[in-house]
Amino acid sequence: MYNCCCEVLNSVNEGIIIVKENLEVYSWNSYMEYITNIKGSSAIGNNLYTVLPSLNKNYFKKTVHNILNDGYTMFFSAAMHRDLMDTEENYNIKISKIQDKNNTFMLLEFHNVTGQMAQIKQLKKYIKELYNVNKELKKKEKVIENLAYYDQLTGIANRTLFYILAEKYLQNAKRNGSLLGIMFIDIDKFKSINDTYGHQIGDKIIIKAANILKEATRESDIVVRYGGDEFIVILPNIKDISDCKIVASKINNRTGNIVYMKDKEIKLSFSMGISIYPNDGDNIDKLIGKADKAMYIAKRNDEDVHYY
Amino acid sequence: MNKSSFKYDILKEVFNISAGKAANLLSEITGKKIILKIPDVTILDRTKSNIELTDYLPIKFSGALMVSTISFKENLAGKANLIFPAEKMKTFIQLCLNEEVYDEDNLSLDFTDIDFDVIREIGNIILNCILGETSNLLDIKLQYSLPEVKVYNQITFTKAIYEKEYQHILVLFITFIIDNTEIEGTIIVDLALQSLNELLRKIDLIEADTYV
Repeated sequence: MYNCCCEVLNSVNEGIIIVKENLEVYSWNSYMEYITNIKGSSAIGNNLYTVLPSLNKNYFKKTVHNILNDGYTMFFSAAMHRDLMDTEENYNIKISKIQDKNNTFMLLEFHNVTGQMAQIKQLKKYIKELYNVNKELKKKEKVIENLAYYDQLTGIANRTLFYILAEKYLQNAKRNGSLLGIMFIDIDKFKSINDTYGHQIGDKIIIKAANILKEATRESDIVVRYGGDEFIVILPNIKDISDCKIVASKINNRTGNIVYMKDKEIKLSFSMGISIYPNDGDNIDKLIGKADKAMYIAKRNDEDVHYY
Repeated sequence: MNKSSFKYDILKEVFNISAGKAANLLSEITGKKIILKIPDVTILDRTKSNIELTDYLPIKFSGALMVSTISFKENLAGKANLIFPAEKMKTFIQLCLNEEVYDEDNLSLDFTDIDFDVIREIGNIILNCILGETSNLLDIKLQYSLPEVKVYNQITFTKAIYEKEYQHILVLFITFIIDNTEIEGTIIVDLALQSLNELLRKIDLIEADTYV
């Protein structure tokens, strides 16, 4: 029977050590020889901590004491105890007490989890890489979105975004029965400034114009660079034309409407045309058309602003 | 047993002593400062009323639960379940393994075999210490299994934990603090009537000794 038990222990794919109560090694199976390169003949009869010095740790010894005295079963995970076994491979260790009428033994089982841990480490690495790639992709998506919808020079909404937003605000106005203002603006004498002072100054002026419009408009208004030196301001939820008048007067009456150069100052002024839903149209194209016409009338009449 | 009675205080003290030993062992193993507290204990009698176990879990347990279960026998028979919210366990495991704690986006409720092994070990240490020290102090012998670890939602948890053969439930509220991260959990111990009576009898002896 004893030989049969030894055969069984030697054929399992787990390291098995049986120690006596005094921690003298009693049995050391073939797999244990394979794990540790220590022959059973060298291990048996010697103290466990002499044969496996890596187990000679305070908490391990305390645990062994508890197992022998109190019958605990202990489990040491390979992940938390990489230094318990002095090997390249990783083992979960289970320790339990075996008792018969006269004798007490301790059974140590060593289960190889190296493959699983390597797989999990690899998977975690892939997950982290995928996470980082996803993060980069999201950043790039944001950049592409910005390029698609925002004017690169001024940072404000561009023509593409204008049509999306304008349609949305128009539908809101239709639903709520409210007014929607469209203000078409261009910079007075921009072509001649650009031709005289060059594109760099021209760009500075465009940027300044965008900032002036942002500062002069309400928080709920949307300032858009429609193209070249043309801007549109969407004015949602206006009570009546006087709201538009207030915004228009803020735009042209600001004292800071000046672009400074080395030896010259350029004072900016704007021509503005305003149309209002529903009076002036029920779709965006009509409203823009009328606001644009109104702006040309303002220019021709040397007015700041004209209402369609 | 009235909650304000001295017996509850003895029971809480016994469990806190054993929790302290578990914390010391875990601190040594992980190399981190770990504190375990058992601020409250309740005994429930299934035979007297319809008990909803989820009423005794901390309010924050609204999602999945990670449960380590061990069975014990000899002078006290029953099952002990250590329950923590699954969403907190990822961070907890990474702290125990001294791994980098990733931000929330990176965490999911998919636990690897390694995660389960870590929880099995920690659950084993905590439950062994609490039940083991209790059995030592009360001079009772116990034999235990290694924990099984599973993840449940609240419905499957109630079905899994409900054991018709055990009429009494001992509920311990436990707070686990590691590296300033605090996790609240619950230990639910199913006890047969004679086991509870044996436990209470031993507590009576301690109480009597206190007044001598």
